[in-house]
Amino acid sequence: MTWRHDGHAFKLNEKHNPLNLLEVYATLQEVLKARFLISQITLEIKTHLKAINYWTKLYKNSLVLIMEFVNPEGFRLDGRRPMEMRRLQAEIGAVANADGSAVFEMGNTKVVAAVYGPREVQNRSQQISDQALVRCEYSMANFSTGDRTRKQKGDRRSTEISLVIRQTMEACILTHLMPRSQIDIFVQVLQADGGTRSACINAATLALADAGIPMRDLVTSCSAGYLNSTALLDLNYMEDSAGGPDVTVGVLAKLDKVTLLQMDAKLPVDTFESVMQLAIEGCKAVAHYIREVLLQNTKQLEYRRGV
Amino acid sequence: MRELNLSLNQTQKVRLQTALQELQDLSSKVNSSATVTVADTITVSHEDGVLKGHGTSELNGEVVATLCGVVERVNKLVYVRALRARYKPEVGDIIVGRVNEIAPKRWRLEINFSQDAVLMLSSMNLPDGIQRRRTAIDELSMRSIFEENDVVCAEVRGFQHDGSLHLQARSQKYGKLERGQLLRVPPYLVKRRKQHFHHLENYNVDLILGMNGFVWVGEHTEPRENDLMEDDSKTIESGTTNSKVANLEEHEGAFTPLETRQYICRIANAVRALSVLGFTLSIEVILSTLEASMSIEIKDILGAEFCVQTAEKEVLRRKSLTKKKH
Repeated sequence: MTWRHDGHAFKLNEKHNPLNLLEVYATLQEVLKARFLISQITLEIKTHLKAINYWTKLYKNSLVLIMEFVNPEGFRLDGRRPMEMRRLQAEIGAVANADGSAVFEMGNTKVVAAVYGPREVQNRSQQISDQALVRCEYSMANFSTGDRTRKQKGDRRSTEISLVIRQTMEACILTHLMPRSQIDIFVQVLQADGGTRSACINAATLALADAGIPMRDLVTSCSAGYLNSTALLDLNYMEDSAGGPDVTVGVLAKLDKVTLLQMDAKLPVDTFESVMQLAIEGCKAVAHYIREVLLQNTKQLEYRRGV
Repeated sequence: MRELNLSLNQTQKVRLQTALQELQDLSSKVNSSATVTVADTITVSHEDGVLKGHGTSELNGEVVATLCGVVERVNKLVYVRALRARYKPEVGDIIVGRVNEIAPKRWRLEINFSQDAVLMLSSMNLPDGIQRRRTAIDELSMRSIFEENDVVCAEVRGFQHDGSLHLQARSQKYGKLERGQLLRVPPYLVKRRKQHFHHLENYNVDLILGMNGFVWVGEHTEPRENDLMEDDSKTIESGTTNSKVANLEEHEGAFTPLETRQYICRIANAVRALSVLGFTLSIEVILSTLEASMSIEIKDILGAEFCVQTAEKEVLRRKSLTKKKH
């Protein structure tokens, strides 16, 4: 029996007897354990498989087990509808010493962002004479994922995401207003449950706005995927690790411009368009929420200050 | 709530909430000013013509905010006054800064601006008080005036054509600050006033409310107007008497009495409490908070109960102010 990397299916070799289901289930159990971190499999395998929405299908003389991400009633693994987002929660002012800071939650994904600056450039050789230097550092807390792994600071994944966030934020900051200075953005993932880069961008936007850094528009981000022939908004970890396409979009909400678009799989063009449209709708919802939070915060600061 | 990690009990929570609610009602009575966030459209009448100020940009013929803040209108000018942002210098502002670096003929000061400010040796009064050209020897002995990490009070002189910010300290009231505490508060809490130096005579304490949000609380020192003469007399003295005695005297002069130290801490904590609550730091409010705190210990000023009381007092104060106006 082999694990097919491209999808979410298990395929039997010719050697195996397709009817020996027990053997299949045993292998599947191991794979599940490794793949989805399900540590406690105590019940009878069959019921367990049912519980996490697997179903079997006989396909071309081999038994294929396909994970069901949207059940016939139209609900996803965590009980959402395909076009439903996770709960958003944002708080401004989480880091005391930063110029601006925010905590942003999308469901179980939780990210903290801190902005320092605009301040004097630390490395003089990097100074730009007509605009501000934007730097970004992304990191994941060791306790953020299910398995506690010791990640070194500059690994490939975090370098890539740092770069992505930096480019996205740089597109909206009016850097020419702050020449010869530097803006540092630090984002750290506290809980990872899929869509960390979207959450990071949203948190960074809030923190930048809190720091009083002039911006063209609010950048917001949201991801969408395509599983079981359905477009799904705001993927969680289970859906993210299914191996299907995952489209992350960053949008300037008011200008209606896309500043970030990432996808790590193949998708037919017409499907892609609908998935991307879904992600953009998600971004707009996030923008609406972020705007509310910022407005509330500004009002509070103003009335407390008094006349 | 920012920086405010108070362990409020249920009653305190309710009291603080009502106090803040009342503040909100009061301010909405006075000005229902338009608060905007990034990318909000600012309504303007185009017939009168518009001058776009800070924090605004144009998009498809609309005026759009680029900051979170309050829209201010002065005749044709429309701008957004940001709240939580770094300090934006204006000529003549009194600021407090910390020396970051000593460069040829200049000090670089951290003043909560987007770049370091520059204090030229030539825009400083020399310690001997004589007006003369700065020589190479003066330049070499710059560290005897300010060292790295010294806290300095100065005035904004202006922007140089290359965009750097220059300071000056051409008066006896400016210069190095010693024997006290430096507090960093958000700059929007300090209002531009005629007087930023305050001598609290009852406590023998100097309070400097820097426009850049750096607040200095320290022991009172008289501006030394005749340094030169003092120096002369000292040299004569040390010539006649034992130099050890002079040293001892100097040490005694450097000693801050315990009482003054306690007052410094008390005032500093009062400022901290006010800034945590987000109230404007005017000298009247600081003094009244200070008086209210006299009955409790210094450490309790940052506690939950006192913060709630301060908020309630602020409500009363603002209420009486609005009554006076009517």
